[in-house]
Amino acid sequence: MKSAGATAADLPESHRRHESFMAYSHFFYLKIALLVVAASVVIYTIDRPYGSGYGGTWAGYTLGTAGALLILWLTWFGYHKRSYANISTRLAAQLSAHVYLGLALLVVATLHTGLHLGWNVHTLAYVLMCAVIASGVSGVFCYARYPRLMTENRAGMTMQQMLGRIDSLDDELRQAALPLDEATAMVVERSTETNAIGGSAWRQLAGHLPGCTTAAAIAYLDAKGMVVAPEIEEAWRRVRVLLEEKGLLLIRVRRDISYKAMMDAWLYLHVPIAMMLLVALFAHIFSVFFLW
Amino acid sequence: MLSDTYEASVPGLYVIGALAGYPLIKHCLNQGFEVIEYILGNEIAPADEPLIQAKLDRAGVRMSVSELVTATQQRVAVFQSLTALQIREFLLHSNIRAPAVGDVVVRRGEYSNSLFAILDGEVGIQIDPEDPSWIVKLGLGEFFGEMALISGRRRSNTIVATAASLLLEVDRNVMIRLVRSDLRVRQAIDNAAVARQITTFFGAHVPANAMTKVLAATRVVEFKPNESLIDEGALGDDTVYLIRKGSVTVSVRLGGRDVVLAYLPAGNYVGEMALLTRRPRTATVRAVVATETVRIDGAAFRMMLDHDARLRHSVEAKLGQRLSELEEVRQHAQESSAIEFFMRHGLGEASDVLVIDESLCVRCDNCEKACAETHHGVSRLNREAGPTFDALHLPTSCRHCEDPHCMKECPPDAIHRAPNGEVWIDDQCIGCGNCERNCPYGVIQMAAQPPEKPGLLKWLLFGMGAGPGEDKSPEGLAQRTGSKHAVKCDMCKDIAGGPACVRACPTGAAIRIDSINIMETIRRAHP
Repeated sequence: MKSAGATAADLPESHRRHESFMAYSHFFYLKIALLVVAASVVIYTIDRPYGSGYGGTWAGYTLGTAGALLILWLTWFGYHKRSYANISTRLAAQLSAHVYLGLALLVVATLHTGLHLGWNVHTLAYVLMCAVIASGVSGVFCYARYPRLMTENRAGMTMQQMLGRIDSLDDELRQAALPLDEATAMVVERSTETNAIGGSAWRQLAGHLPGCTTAAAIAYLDAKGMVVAPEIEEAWRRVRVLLEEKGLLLIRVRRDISYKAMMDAWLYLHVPIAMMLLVALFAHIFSVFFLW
Repeated sequence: MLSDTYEASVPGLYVIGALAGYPLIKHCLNQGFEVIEYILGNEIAPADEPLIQAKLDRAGVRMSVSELVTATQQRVAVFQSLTALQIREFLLHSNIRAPAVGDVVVRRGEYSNSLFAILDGEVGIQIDPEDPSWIVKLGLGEFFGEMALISGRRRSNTIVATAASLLLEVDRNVMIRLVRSDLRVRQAIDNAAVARQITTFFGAHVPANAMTKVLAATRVVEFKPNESLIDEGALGDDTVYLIRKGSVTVSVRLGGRDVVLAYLPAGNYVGEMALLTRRPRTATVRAVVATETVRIDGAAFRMMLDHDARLRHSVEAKLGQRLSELEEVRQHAQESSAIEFFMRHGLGEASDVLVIDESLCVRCDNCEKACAETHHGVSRLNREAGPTFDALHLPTSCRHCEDPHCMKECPPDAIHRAPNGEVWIDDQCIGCGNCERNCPYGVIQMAAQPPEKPGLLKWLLFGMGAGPGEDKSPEGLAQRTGSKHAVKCDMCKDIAGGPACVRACPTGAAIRIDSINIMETIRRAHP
């Protein structure tokens, strides 16, 4: 009996190696994209050697059809990446194609317009497309930058471990602050009551929070640090060290959230604008063929 | 010792159930019924009779069950010490196969599930995959398949029937249990295995009389985790070890600490360096997990080399290759720590494991979602949990161990190993949780069945349902039905295209590696 699945040894070479989607299969899709760009330029130049062609010529229709098909295919990625049972090869190959052909689309569509732009639905579709591509480029940048930073920032801990450690530091702080004077103990107590993490989209992205009670407690202790009574000096030092550890952990947690937010945020532009683009594209094609 | 009717050596005393070595309640019920019938003088057929008969019929063998029991007992020396009751018990978990001439019985490269005994006919082992005509024949009463059974690794040779044969294919779990409980069976299998391992590894061209001497100077030696086989600097030790189960690391002391240079899984040999160079041991070799080796005396190994120039050449070539690899690793201390990290987290006994390159992983959890979507709504991997070294992350997901811990105490024998090595749980699971407790890597969970979800388009267009992936929200968990059963990674063995986690990774961060390409993965991570 041979089962349908494949083990590591039976998998194609690409399944056994870590390889970025950007470099997938020796930049296979970059090469395809360059071919598409070259073909578009050739078509455009043959039709209008001195420029100024646009959608209404045979080259324009060709490029427009190619562009529209590309847009539909690129949008289909959002469905494909979730139809898990039907991903035939690796999704990384699809993403590689999505990125490079998406970039090629910029050239195809620009040549299609012949730079005849104006205040109309046709230009709207073009501008929306440019916005989708630009947000995609920022996504590629985020995907290249943040994964490694995130790993380094975590230092081998999971989010749950970090939050658990903060919790236990809070318990230790409450104990350690007991011998301190009342005003200081209050400040430390307040820092254990609320740990500001996350929050609004903007705060998540920014990664630091203005009203952090732990930072306030550290600042308070440091300001009063010179005039500590000798009998509470040891407790004071202990609280200061605990606060320091907690403060650093909080920075790590917020940074982690901010990195994750950076990797997700661009999609909140990319996907909705892509939907708007589909509507505008439909309006553009409809108006060209039926209303012109 | 019980008779065929469960009667003890004291006449009139019958022993059934757990005391007789049958732990399950169904055994007890059947046996109790049978014993009463026997006492009443009714010669009824045992409850397992029709089941075993069906196996014979399915294989097209005209034979009664009692004839099969007698044949097994009389023709196969290894099983001679077993009682008819014991034989019936393992026949129940065995297959009867009747291959025609030329039929392939086991295929090189497949994972082992069973051991075969030859009740009739003859089979041939293809020693050299390049040359299928080079065959070593095995006849009546002999057994095969023990090498992969011991190591938990892939079958090392293809075996074909060279005559119309009758074979008994004994299930891996049953055989392992038998080997553990019966010393005589164990010794018989061990001796045969050692002879065959030495022959297939080194001795294909060594004359038989020399081979006899080599085998006399060879024995099986076991090592506990972390115990050393070879100590760096040791003088006059020129033993060679063939690793037949488990795995080892090779390390040297550099600047006062152990630096691991290499990892060697079962199917490799170590110790030839001191033998060939006649110098002190240059490195320490240590068992990663419980490891079994075939220890070959230095003089005997040298005799084999003297008899076979081809073997000498291949051993020397391997030595050269090893020396240059070690030199390379010596210069990359980072790699050494990476090997240690992998060993610490169970890759020393893994046959296939998911490894994520965190410098590529965008934490989208598409791997987890793909796992849940292709496995009835419950993900068998936890992407975030699990240890990380540098940028290599080992998520909590099954390692498909060579000698799976989870299989050890499964009352209904619901955990199996598929030919490609996948360790999977069938629907016989009773939800006892033994496997979950026995797994040292925490990759098995007990889960109830989530309800059917609306289709993907309904979610995309109309927002129906919780969307792709496992619904772990309190509302989602509350909707689950039925009792909890053990779930774990089955490496997508029934899904065309291979593991969904790897396929669904958009950035190429998730890959699966086996023990063979651990070193390669580490090298890529630290170029």
